[in-house]
Amino acid sequence: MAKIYSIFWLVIASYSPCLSAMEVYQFDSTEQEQQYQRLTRELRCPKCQNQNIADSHAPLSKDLRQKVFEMTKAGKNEQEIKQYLVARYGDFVTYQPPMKPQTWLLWFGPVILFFGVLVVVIWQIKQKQSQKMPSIDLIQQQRLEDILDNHEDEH
Amino acid sequence: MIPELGHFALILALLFTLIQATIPLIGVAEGRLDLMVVAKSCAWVQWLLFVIAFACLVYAFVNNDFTVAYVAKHSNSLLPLQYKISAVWGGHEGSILLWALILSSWTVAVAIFSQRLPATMVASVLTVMAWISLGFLLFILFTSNPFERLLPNFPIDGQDLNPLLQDFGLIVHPPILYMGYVGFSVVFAFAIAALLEGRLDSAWARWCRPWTLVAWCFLTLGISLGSWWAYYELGWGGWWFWDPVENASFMPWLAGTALLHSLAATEKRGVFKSWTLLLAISAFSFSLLGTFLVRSGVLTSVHAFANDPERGSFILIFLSLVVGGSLTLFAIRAGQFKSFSQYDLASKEMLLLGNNLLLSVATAVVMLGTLFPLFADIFHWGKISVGPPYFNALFIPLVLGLLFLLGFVPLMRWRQNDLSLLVKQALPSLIASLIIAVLLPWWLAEQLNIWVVLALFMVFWVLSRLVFDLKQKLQHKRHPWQAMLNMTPSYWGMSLAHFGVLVLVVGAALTSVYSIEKDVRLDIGGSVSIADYEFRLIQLKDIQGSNYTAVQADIEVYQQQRFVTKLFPEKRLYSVQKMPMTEAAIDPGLTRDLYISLGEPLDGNSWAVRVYYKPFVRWLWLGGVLMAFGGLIVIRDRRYRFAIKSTKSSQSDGLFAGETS
Amino acid sequence: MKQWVYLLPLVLFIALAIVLWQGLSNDSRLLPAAMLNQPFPEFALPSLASSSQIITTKDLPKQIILVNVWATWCSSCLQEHPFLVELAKQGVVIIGLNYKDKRADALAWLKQLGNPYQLEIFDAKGSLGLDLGVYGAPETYLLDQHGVIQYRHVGVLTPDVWRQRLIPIIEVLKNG
Repeated sequence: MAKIYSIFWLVIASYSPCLSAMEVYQFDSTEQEQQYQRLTRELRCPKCQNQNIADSHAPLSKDLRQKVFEMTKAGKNEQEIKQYLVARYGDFVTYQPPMKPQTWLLWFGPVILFFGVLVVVIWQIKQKQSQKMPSIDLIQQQRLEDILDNHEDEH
Repeated sequence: MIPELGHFALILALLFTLIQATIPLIGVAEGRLDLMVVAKSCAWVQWLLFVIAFACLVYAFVNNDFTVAYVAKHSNSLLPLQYKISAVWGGHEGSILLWALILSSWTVAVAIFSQRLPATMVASVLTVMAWISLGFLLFILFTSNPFERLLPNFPIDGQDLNPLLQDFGLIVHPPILYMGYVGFSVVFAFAIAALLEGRLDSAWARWCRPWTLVAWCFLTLGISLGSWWAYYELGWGGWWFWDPVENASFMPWLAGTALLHSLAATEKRGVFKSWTLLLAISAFSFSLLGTFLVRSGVLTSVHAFANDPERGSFILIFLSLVVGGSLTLFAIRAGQFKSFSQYDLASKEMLLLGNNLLLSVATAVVMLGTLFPLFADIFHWGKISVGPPYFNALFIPLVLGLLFLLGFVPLMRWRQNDLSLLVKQALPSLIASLIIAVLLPWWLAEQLNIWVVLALFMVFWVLSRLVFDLKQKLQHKRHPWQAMLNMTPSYWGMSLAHFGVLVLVVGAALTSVYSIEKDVRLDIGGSVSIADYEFRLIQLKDIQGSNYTAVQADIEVYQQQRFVTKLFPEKRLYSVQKMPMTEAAIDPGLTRDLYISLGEPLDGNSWAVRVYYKPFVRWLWLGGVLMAFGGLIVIRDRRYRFAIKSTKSSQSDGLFAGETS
Repeated sequence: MKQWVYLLPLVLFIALAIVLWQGLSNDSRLLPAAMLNQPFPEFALPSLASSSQIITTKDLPKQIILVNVWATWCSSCLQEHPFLVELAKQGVVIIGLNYKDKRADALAWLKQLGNPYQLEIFDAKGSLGLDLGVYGAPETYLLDQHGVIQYRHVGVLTPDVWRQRLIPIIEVLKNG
C-alpha cells in the first residue's frame, strides 16, 4: 500500500515543486499556536496573487511560515515578527496597512465622509423645517399620507 | 460550421442592437409610436440571436471541437459532461457572452412586463439597454470572440478546465451572480429614462422596485453561493477573503441595497429623488467597474481572469462612456427633481437616510480598500496591501450601526415621531438585549468576546422589535391567524429579509470568533481531537476519477465515544493540468461544521491534516438565502402588479395614484 | 441644494477613471525592495564548492558589485546566464547567491554554462534570501563600495536593464 502512495506522490512532486500548504508544528502553548495562526493569516505571500501565507502553496510562503514558527517558538511577539518581515519585504507583506501620512486617506477617509455627510444632512433638514412649504396644500397632503399610513397598517 | 454560425449570429445581433439603440429614440423625439415599438421587436430578435450564439458555443464544447481556441483552452475530451457545459462560462470569452445573453434576457423581460407602461418610457428604457448591449457586443466581437478558430494547427485534445472550477459551484454561481449584476441595468435604464424625460414620480419608483428587487435577490444569492463555494472548494475553510473579486461583487450589492431602501422612500413619500437616481446609476456602474477590475489585471486577485491590457482598455473606455455619460446627464438634470415633503429628525425618512448613509460609507470603504493599493502604487506612496484587518475594522462598526437603526424600523413612522415615546418603547428592549448578549455567550462559551457581545446585542435588539411589532399588529384582532395571513407580502418579505440579516450576522460573529483550527500529523489508526470531537484515520485508498487520480482518506468522527459520521477528504491530481487539488470533507450541521482537508503525505503512512470546527458557519448562507427569499416575497405584493395595470391613472395624476385598493 | 452638488459624482468618477487608466499600464506585481539603502544583511553561509568553506559578509569585495540570486530550477535564470557571463568578461564583479537549490545541480550548471561569479554563496534553505526579501529568482542587487544596497532588479537582467537602469547608478557611485 505504502508503495502506491509513494509512487503517486513522486509523480505529484515532479509536476509541482510547491506542493505543501501545511506543516505540522509543535507549539509550547495554545497562545503560541494561536499567534502563529493569526500571523500566518495576516501576512501576505509576496509571490502569489492575493493569498495569505497560511493558505498559499508557494515555496516562499512555506519559508515564511517556517520563520514565523521559529520566531513564535523563540518567544517573539506578534509585533516583533511583523516588523521583522516588513523590514525585509516592505509594507506589502502585511494585510494591515500601516498608519502613516500616505495612508491617512485610507483610514480616515470613510470616517470623515460619514461625519461630514451626517452634519450636512442634519443641517439641511433643520433648515428645511424652518422654511414654509411651497405650493402644495400641506393639510391636504398630510391627510392623504395619514390615509396611506393607516391603510398600510391594516394589512 | 456551427462556430461560424454562432459568430454570424453575434454580428446579426449587433445590427439589430444598432437599430434598437437608434430608431426608438427618433420615435420618442418625434412622438411616433410606430418607431417606438421597434424597440420591443428588436429586443426579441436580439435575444434569439444571443441564444443561438450561446447554443453554438455549448455545442462546440459538448462535441469537443478543439479547433475552436476557447474550447481547446477550457475543455478536454475527458471532462465530465456537466463541466463541459459549465466550462462555457469558465473563461473570459464565454463568461462575457453569458453576460451579454443575460443582458438581452433582461431586455426581453422588460419588453414583456412593461405592456402597460407609457410607450415613451418603455422605448427609452429599451434604448438605453441596447446601448449597453452594443458595448458588450463590440467588446466580444473585437477583443473576446469565443468562436475564434485554431486552423489549421489545432490540438488533438484540450487543455482542460481549471480543476478549481470543476465543481457544482461553477455550474450555478456565475449565472446567478451575473443575473444580479446585469439586472441592475434595468433600473439604471429606468433612471436614465427618468432623467431624459425629466419625470420622476412615485409611479416611476413603483416600476423600478420589482426590477431592483429581482436583481438584488439574484445578487444576494450569487454572493452567498460564491462564499459557500470558496468555503468548501478552496480547502481553507474561509468564507470571505475581502479579495478584489469578491469586493467587485459586493460593491454593487451594497449600492443596490441602499437603492432598495431609498426607492421605498421615493415611492411612499416622494423624497430623495435625485439620490435614488444616483444610486440607480451607481449600482450598475459598480457592476461595470467590477467587470473591469476582474478582467483588466489592474489588481491582483486569486480569482481574476487572465490579464489582458487591450481588453482592459476597451472596458475602461466603455465604462467611462456609460458612467461618465449618465453622470453628466445627472449633473445637468438631477437638480430639477425637488421633493416637497417635510420630515422630522425622528422619522422613517431619516431612518432610511441613515441606512443609506451607512451603506454608502460601507460601499466607499470597500471601494477605497480595494483600489487603494492601486492609488498608492500610481502616486508612489509605496506598495501596500489592504486586507481583512482593514476591512473588518471599518466595516463591522458600520454593520452594527445598520443593525441599531434596523431595530427602529417597526417603531418609526413617516414624517414625525414622538421622541420621548420612542425612547420609552426602545429602552427596555435595548437593556434586555444587552443583558442576554452578555449572559448567553458567557454561559455557553465561557469566554466573552466584545465583538460577539456587540453583535448579539444588536441581533437581539432587532429581533425583539420584530417580534413586538408582530404581536402589536395582532393584539386587537379577533382572528390573529387570519390577520397574519392578511398582512401584505411587503411586510412579510421585508421582515424575513431583515431576519435573514440577523441570521447572517450571528453566523459571521460566532464562526469568526469561536472557530477552532488544528494542523496535525495523522497516522493510519491515529486520531486527533478538537472541541470534544475525535477524528480517527481508518485507512487510505486510491481513487480513479475520469480525469484525475486521488488518494482518499477514510476518517471516522466520534463525539464522546459516540460515532457521528464518516468523512472522506481527498487529495486529487488532475492529469491534464498536472494540478493537485484538495477536496475537503465536511460534516455540515446547523450549529457547527466539521471540516477536514488533507495536506501532504509525511514519511511512512502518515499525512498532514487540517481539521476545523466551525460553529454556526451555515447561518451565513442560510441568512443570505433568507434575505433573497424575503426579497422575492416582496415582489409578490399587490402594489407592484397593480402599478402595471394602473399606469394610465398614475400618468395623469402623478404622486399617489394607484394606491386605492 | 446648490447645483454644483450634482456635479460632484461626475468629478469623482473622472478622477477615478484617470487613476484606473494609469493603473492599466502599471505592473501591480513588482515590489520595491524594502532593503534599499540598507547595508547588505549579515550572513555566514557555505560556498557552493564545499560545505566546509564558510563565506561571510566580510568576504564581499569592497567595491561596486552585483549580487545575483539564481537557481537551477528557475528557467529565467537560464535565459539570463549568458549575459552574466558576458558582464563578467567585461570585468563586472558578480557574486552568485545560489538560492534553495541542490549543490550538485548548481555545480553542473556552472561547469556546463560557464561561471560568471567571483564568489558562489550556497543558500540551500533560503535564509539569506529571506533576509534580503527575495521573492523569486532571478533577482539582482547592486551594492556600493560600502556594501549598501543601491538597487534591486527583479527578473531577468537584460542588456537593456543593465544600460538603462544600472549603469547610470554605477556612474554616480563611481563619481561620488
